Amino acid sequence: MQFDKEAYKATLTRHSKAGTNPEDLLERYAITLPTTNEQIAAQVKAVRAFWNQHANGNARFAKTAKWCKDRDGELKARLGGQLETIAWWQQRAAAEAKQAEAAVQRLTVSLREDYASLGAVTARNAAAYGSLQGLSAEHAISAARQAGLIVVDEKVQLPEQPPINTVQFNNLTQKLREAQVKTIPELLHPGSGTFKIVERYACTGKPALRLDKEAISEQKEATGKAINPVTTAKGEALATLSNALGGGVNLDAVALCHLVDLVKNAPPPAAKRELAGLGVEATDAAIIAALLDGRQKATQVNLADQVRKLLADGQLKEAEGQAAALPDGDDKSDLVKLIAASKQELGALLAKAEAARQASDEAEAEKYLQAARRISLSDAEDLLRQLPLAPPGAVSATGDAESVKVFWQRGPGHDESVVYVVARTEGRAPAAPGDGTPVYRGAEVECADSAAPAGRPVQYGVFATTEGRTPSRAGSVTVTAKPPVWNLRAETGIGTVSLHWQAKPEARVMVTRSPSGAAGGAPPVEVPVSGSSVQLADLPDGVTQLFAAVAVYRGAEGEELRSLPRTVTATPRGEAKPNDTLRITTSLAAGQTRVRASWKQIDSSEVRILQTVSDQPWPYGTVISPEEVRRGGTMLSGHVEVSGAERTLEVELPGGMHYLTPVSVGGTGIAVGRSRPTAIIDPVTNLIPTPFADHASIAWHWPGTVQLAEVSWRAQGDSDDDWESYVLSRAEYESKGGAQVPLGQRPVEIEVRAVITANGKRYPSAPVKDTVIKVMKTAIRYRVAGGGPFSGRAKKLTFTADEPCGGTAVRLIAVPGTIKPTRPTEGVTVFETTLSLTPGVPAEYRAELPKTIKKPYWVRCFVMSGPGRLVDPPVGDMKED
Amino acid sequence: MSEQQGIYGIDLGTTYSVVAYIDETGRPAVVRNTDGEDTTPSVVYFETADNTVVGKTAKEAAGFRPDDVVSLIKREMGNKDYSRSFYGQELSPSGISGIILAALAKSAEEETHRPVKQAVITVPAYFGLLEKDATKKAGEIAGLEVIGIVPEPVAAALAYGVTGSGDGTTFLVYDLGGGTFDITLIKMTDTSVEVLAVDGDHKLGGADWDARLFDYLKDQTVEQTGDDSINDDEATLQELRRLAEETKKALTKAESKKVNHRLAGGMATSISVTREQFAEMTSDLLEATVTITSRMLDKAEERFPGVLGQITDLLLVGGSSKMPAVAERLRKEYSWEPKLADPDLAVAKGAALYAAGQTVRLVEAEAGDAPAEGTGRTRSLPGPAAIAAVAADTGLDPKQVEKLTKTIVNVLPKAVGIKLADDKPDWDSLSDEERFYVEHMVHAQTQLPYQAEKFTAGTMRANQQTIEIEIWEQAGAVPGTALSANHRVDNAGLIEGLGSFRLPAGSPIDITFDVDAEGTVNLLAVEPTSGKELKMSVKIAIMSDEQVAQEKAIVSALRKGM
Repeated sequence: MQFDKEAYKATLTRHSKAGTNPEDLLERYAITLPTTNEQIAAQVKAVRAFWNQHANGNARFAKTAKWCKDRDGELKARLGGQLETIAWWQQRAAAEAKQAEAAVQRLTVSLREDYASLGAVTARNAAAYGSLQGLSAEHAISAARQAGLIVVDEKVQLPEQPPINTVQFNNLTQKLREAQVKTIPELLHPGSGTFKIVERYACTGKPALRLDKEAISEQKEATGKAINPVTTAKGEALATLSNALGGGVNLDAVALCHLVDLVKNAPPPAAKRELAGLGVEATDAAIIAALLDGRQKATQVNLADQVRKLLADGQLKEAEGQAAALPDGDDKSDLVKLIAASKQELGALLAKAEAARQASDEAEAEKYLQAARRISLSDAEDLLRQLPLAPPGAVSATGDAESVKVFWQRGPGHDESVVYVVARTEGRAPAAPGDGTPVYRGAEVECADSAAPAGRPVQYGVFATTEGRTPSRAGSVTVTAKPPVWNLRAETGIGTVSLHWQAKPEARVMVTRSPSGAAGGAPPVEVPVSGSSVQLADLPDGVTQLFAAVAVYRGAEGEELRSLPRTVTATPRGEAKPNDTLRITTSLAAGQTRVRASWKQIDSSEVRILQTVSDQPWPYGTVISPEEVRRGGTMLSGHVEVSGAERTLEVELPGGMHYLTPVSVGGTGIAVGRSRPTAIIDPVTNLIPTPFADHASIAWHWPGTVQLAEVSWRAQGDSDDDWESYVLSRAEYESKGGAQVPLGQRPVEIEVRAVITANGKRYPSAPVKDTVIKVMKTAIRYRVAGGGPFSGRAKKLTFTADEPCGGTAVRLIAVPGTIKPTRPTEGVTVFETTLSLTPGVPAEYRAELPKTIKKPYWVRCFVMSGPGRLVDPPVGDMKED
Repeated sequence: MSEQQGIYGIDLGTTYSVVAYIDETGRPAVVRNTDGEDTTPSVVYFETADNTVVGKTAKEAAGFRPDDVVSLIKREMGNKDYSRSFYGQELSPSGISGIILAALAKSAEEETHRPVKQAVITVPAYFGLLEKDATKKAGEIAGLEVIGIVPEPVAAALAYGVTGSGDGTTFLVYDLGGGTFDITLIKMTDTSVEVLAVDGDHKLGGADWDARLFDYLKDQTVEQTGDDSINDDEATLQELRRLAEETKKALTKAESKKVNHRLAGGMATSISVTREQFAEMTSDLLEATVTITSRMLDKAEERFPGVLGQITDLLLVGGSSKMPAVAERLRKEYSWEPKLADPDLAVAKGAALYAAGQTVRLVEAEAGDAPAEGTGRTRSLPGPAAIAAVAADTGLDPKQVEKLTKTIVNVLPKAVGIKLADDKPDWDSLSDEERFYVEHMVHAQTQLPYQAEKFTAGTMRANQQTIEIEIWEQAGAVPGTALSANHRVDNAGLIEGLGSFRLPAGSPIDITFDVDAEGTVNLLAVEPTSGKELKMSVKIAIMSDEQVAQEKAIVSALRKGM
């Protein structure tokens, strides 16, 4: 037994495509018994490896492999290593065989009971019996044989249709009857006795006989020339057979068809007896009867299935009719009960639907009718058609805009096919979709009516319609339209304001004016209106005026109905002067660059800041129109801080070069001021200084495509003048692994700015800052020398420092061997002291090496605590060979 | 400790792995891989016989060469029967994990310019003996000295900077990773970290949420295109799986996401998924975590009455805990406000911090300064010299280092015991399930180290020469004595040397069973009448030494090509 990967893959593929899983363990593990422990262990291992390889995929095949793997896990948990032993598989096979044996015995008894009278059973029917007991087809066939039955193979079939055309066949049948001949073999070989016919005609007593041309000729001769109904019929029957034979038809098949036709309506046991009586040999009679039995059972199953399908398709009446025609049996009685229950349910649903309809709850009624439709289409379909749709919900309208807007919601059960129709009437609600003035037809849930009469109440009705259904009742609303003025605009000149608007012809327009910010002060003043405009002069320069226009209508009772006001502000201004005072600063807040634009207000004009990505085309002082401004760039907007004459606007701008230009909006146009270029550069991020002994290494993330950075530093406490800096490129940064700044005795403040160059100028980003706390320890150098001639094991230690350094505890150790000591705890402590050094003044000490330290050895000094750091002397000082 | 080595902690995750180290400023920093990312997909692509790829590229390769890609290997840790063959080389889950660890170590070396020799590796708190051993073996196969195996929730607690008070701070760690779910109750004092209770499911994680979304996208694709042949198209399905993961991540920030996809045949699909839909299709998975959490809390309250009232915090760990539905559900169920901070990286950072603590102990041991073992549950804290040495080397503040040397008191997540014969009539004719049972010597949730009471077994036959001893561990969530409720964790354990005693059948043998602080099981067998210790050869190991050496050689060769 060798694991055949391809064959196993094909097995799993077959299952995955069929949507099944390999339930049979022998198939799942690809094991063929008998085998050995080693072979089983190897096979199980190989199969597991296969699942491991494929189970993580996503395709159906992978799912099948995963299923196998998961079941294997369960088996392993239960059985442990037994799965890999031949003993377990054999035990299992034996247990299964035992179970199967018991089931086969039970099946044998069942089959014997049901088919003894036939003496035969088709393989398919036997398998069907077997599957009820959980047995395979092979077991079922074995049981059938044990029951003494002939098992008819699936390949053996009864012909569905005669091999000659129906008219000829029926004629032949008729002639045989008239000729008083029961069967075709009897016609061609009268008195020849029993015969087999299923595979082919074979006379039991005379095997050489055939249903062929010779037999026909013989019988034609034997019939003779006598003319009587019998011989005539015989002759005609022989002629039909002769023609059929001449056309290549096998007369054995014709004979079999004829026999089947004779007995097809008889119950199979009776059919068997009848066939035997007709001369068919006993086995063949049993086979034909068994095949007929199989055909009837299949038909019965088909019929019952058809009834079930009709029920599922909501064809209750048809199902009822067909169920009545079913042969008696379990299927029929089950189906009859089911149909009765369905009828009861249908009745209840129809009653509920009717009650809901009468209560004008169309949605509820529809729900019941849809449920009833699933049981009986014909009963519910008409009722559904007659049932109006549920009306749309929450219909509302507003008359305070240029047109009346009507809104509604989809009603219960409204799907995409529903079309809403909106109509308008006066004095009453629309009664039907075609009643009144049509306003809208469509699938949306709102519409606008620009033709609604203003100043008097109108009614809108919204109807839901769809093909094949009665339209809904109206969802209606009443509204009085009061359209306000529209297109209200103001134009300013030097000290003047002109207002223009549009309004409904029925409206009288009232306009009031008040200085902006005058709320609570003097009431607004009505201004004289001329047609659809107002002209005002001599208004104070630079003072913003607020204008409000209201459309006034006369109601049905003569009352005044006012629309909502529309307002506009206008500021008459003098001639604008170009502004040269713009200053730009940038800062960093929450990782974003913010731009502050500040300027001085030099006249009464309104100064706005125009932003462009390249220098704007107008020279300083040019007067341009609002349209040119709109085309030329973007006006920055935001809150403007006012402090005396100073104005400041703070905005966020995206990265890149920007040109900010102050433009002054005055009474005669817009004056272009002095432009300022501004670079918005994303700052560096993730600034990380890493202190080392005498310097700090600075690292950061570079923004975008920035290639330069400026690194600045100063000692904490120093003035702004003490900043030192340098610029380095990204390439330099990467090659050096960062930037470096020196450390000193005080913490160091660091700032890093990303830099871009444009037009020959450098633009830095907002700085990113950090402080390095670590201070550089004072360097203390030391030397170790022999104590002098005849000094023996004495050592002279000399410590020096370039800066004052006190309180540094040091230890000199001696370690035998050739490896340089790295820790103060190694070897033997020779000397310890606390240093207090003055710059330029060496401190000398003597120490004695213990006698236990023999060459080769190392001596080395370590700092134990304090602000100093030791600089080791040359190796020659420290190492004695 | 060599000045040249760094201190590393590795979060070896089911779907993503992270390696962190203590940088010069004393902070835990995460190593960026060659893709510039902090997390590395735990996926291995066996491209050729001598080239393997780990990470994002390997994940992409699953689309066109799925049979040569391994993922979710952590779910197989502890499974002795799992192996994969590539180009004639067979690898266990430890071997495949070793490849991932080797790749992570290489990235760390490239970033820090220091060799990676020692590391702490994290495991789910719910990992049993075999899984932990498998993880340790993976480290060895990768050429690392594994100086500690730390539970992920404990590492996360260290990273979160939970400070223990004198009386102890009690908190929950809800760790929903890519492939495993752990819920752990921890009590932290100023000297120790005690795991009070632990539970979880090491086959439940973010990958299961992805799978639901994947099924939804697949079904929608079939519905929109009317073509179900994609069920057999691995490349398309792999792309859908990638989109599923992407969509899951997007839904942590947005309320909905539109997934547009064009199939190989040119047909395009557009599938909308809302956060609500996603929560609905995965609600049972989330409920499973809540059920496990409540089960653990009940057990904890039983063992430590009143402990529920002491819980002050609920920490969320693991990338999958970022899903808004998680915090929402936990908030609804329990009274604690879930805390979420850097859930993808916390475990690795905590492992690096734990490694710093472990390094102190190693330094002490090397210097011969290790104090005598303390009694009871807490070990003595290391001395100041070792702390100072590690502080000087790492740049950490000595006080910080001292805090990191807190003693970790773990619990045994699953009951462990011995297989015994059940004295029944007709014993020989019974099945194994009927003949044997498992006597649990140490129950789940027992704090370690722990020594069980002496247990007396009897010989079955006269003059028995040896006793075969098998150590079994609880297999599922609920302990049981049946064999099917447990699994064997040792390799052919034997008590030998009985022959010389010529004992009659039924003679007693005393067995002492203890579990040390790291969860290692130790047995001692004594013949009581003579008091003589019997020779025991019980080794809990997922792989033999030969297997480890073999796979180490394979991985070492592959590492050269990485």
